[in-house]
Amino acid sequence: MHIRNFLIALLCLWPGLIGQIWAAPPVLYAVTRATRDYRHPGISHPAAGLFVTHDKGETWDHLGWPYGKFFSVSARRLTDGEILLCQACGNGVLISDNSGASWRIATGWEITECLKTAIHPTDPRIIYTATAYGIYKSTDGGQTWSQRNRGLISTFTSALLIDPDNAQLLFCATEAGVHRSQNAGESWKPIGLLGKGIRTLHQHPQNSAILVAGTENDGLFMSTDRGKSWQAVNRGLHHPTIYAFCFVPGEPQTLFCGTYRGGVYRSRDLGQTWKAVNKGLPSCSVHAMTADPQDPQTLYAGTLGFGVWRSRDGGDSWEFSGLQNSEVWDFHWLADQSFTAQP
Amino acid sequence: MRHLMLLGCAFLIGWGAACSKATSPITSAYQERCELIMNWADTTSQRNFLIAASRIVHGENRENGLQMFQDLLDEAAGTPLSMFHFYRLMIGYCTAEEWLPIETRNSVRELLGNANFYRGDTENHLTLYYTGLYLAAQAFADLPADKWFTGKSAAENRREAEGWFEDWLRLTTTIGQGEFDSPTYHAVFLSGLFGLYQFTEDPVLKEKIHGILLWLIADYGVEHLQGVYTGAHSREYPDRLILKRHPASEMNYWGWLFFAQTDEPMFNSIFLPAALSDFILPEILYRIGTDREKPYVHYETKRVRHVLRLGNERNPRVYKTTYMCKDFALGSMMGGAVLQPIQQHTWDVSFVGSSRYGTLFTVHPFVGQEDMGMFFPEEMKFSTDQVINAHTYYADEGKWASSSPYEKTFQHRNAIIVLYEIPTGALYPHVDGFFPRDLQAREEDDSGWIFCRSDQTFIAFYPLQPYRWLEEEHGFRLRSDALRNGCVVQVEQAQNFADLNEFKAVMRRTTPVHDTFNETGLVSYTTPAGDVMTFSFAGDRLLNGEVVDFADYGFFHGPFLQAELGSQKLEIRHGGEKMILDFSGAGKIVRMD
Repeated sequence: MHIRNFLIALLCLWPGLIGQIWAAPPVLYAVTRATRDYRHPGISHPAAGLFVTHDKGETWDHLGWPYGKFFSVSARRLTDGEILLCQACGNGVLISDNSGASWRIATGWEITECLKTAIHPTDPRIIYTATAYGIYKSTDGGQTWSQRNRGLISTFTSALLIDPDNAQLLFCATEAGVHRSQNAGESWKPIGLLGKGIRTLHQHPQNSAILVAGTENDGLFMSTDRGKSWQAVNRGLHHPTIYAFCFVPGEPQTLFCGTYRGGVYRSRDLGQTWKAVNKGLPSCSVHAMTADPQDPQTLYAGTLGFGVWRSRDGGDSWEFSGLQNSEVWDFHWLADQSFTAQP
Repeated sequence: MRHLMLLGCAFLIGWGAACSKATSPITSAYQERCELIMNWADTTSQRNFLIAASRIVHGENRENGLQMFQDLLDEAAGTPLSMFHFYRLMIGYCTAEEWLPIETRNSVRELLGNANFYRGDTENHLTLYYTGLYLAAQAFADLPADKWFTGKSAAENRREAEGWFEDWLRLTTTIGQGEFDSPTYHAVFLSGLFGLYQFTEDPVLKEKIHGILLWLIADYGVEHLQGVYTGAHSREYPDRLILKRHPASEMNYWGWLFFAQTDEPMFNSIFLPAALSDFILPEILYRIGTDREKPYVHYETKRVRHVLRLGNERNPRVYKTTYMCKDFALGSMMGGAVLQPIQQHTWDVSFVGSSRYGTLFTVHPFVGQEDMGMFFPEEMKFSTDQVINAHTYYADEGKWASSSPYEKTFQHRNAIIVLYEIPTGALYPHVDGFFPRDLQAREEDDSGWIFCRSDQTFIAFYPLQPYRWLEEEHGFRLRSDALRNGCVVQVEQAQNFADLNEFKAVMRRTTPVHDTFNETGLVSYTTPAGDVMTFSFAGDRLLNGEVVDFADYGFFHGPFLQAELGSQKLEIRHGGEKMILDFSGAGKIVRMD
């Protein structure tokens, strides 16, 4: 009897529950290096660092350290429900394993100028950081770190990817091209764009053979064979310094990129042609781009000095979202929700 | 109790040292200057933890000091805190701990959990941060990890600080500082290190820090003139570069404390950690810092700070030459590359006397992404924009500090050839020379020389290209617009000539040969002493036909300092005295031979 009533109740509630889960806005993090009111290196007024929005950019709440020099964050839901956050910053890697309630500088004096972090997709004890001095890896949740630079032509690494299909396969962006590791960072080989300073590197969420690299002076390049060959995809792109890039979930042909002094560009044909889409945006540089995993019409642009801007019409126009005057360096979706939302 | 015992020991050591040198006027005078600083701290309107702590321990104005300390803590809560706050807080705390009420001590304890002290990204930043962290970890050894802003235990924090100092000491004593010989920031290193020296409970670290303090004071001691840090600097602010004798740069203040070489006492809280410590200035350091009777040439090797990109070498070498006499110093580094970001000062003449500026030099105002991109991880183009916003002088066509890769020097004793090869398309295709307003002579001679006098210093300046004068607030700017450019400069003591006319007559006979300069870039100059210097931007530096080999510069090479690169061993000599600072082994670091 009880079991039957329970099942009936569950059946009645199920659609609502599913609807609520499906409709819950994904969690988006933004990292601001500083504000435009910057006067002293590393000191920002007011708070910089990590911000989170649970309502599609309507409000942004600060988490963790308010002062410093912050570059990026990665996040992953742990099995106990808490969120693991790894911030890359000037002071090293800041880690919180309780959703941002408390933080620890996980690195020591040896590791500094951290630009990116990457958390292993299934083992949160394995964390990488890309720094101005190379790649470091921890296999114990950030307690200890070891350098992983063997084979890197340039140790200045500005981006790091873990292949979603094979966690042994890593890609990193350096000042001398894209490098690949097939053994979880033990060694690296240059695979393309040699001699080019790579500012940003991305892997297609549905087709991991597609990689896109934004460069310091030469625009965007795309590879459709996991980095073996690269083609420039710059037609219509009038600003060759690319700081940011994003794919759009559910719209495999649509791409966005953020440029130095050129705002946002959009491509509707997988990078064959580009068009500036800056209606409403201030004239600025864009260092972070992302698309809402549940809503391909909603995009976010992180500007250098003008905060976060949001588009609700697929990039046709932009409105201010928050973090006024901030230099927004990075966006990151909480991994579990972004994965569940993939079409 | 522990602290009382430590203070007692420190007092006894200091008192013992003082007593043992009670007959030394040098030591007594140094201690008197320290006392004057504390007297100044009792009444100054400035406020910081060091001043508060000085008032507390000095006792004249203790209640005010205690109140200031607590007020500063209250003000610190919720505000941005950097390494500068951190080191002052912890040195102040260690200095005054015994007098601080429990509420104040608890406030410090809480601040260590609530504040996020920014570590910074330069060598002086990290020295101060790790001084603060070390002293905090020592003072609050019982504080668990979750009560620290770092999230690490006191033992972990202390180990991290020790690790950084170990590495920094190794670098500094093998290939030199990256942020070297800065009239502003050398003082900052000293300030933090004096606090660490005084308060570390580890005798091994104390000996090392004592040794490196002596090293840094010696490094400054042979290149200062009446407190002014002369010649080339890794970094300095432009206004301080042209007002060298104006007491703006902090090292001028240290010059007063160590060597009493300024006309007036100069007070600054930055040297309170020294004044409050038991440190006794060794007489040999005083002697090398004040003996300018015989001119000497001092060579040094330093290094570029960590190169992150746009270069193949992490720490390229920097070769410095300084000619020193009692009236002036001529100093330079070799140039030819971006050796430091934005605030590089490649060469100058520094002179004493009545001039409030006391300097003459040239510069190419370089602006480029290399300035930031080589040394900072932020985006090159955007961070260049940022520097322009934060340091408005950076993009100024008339800036006096510049890290131009288009500038090279060749110095031999008191003569220097400075060459410029500015590429077409450079943002500012000109060279500027600073000639201070209060020079007693600035005369353009038909021979091509410009003759200058400032009290006991004669300067002959030979521009290699046409120029014009721009009159400005502080002086006359010599501006020359040729892309291939340069000058030859000879500096002499007035005492070696009957008058300026005799100097002019001598120099007219040694006009630089530069007939093919526009085509080949080659210039040849025979000094009044008969040495032939030949130089082109793309070629070697030839002295009397021999290529100058920078390997001969050693680490420190001069009459007062000797060290081989990589040796970790510095020999300080004066007269028959010799002090050895030896970081190479496990033996005693500081030794008198």
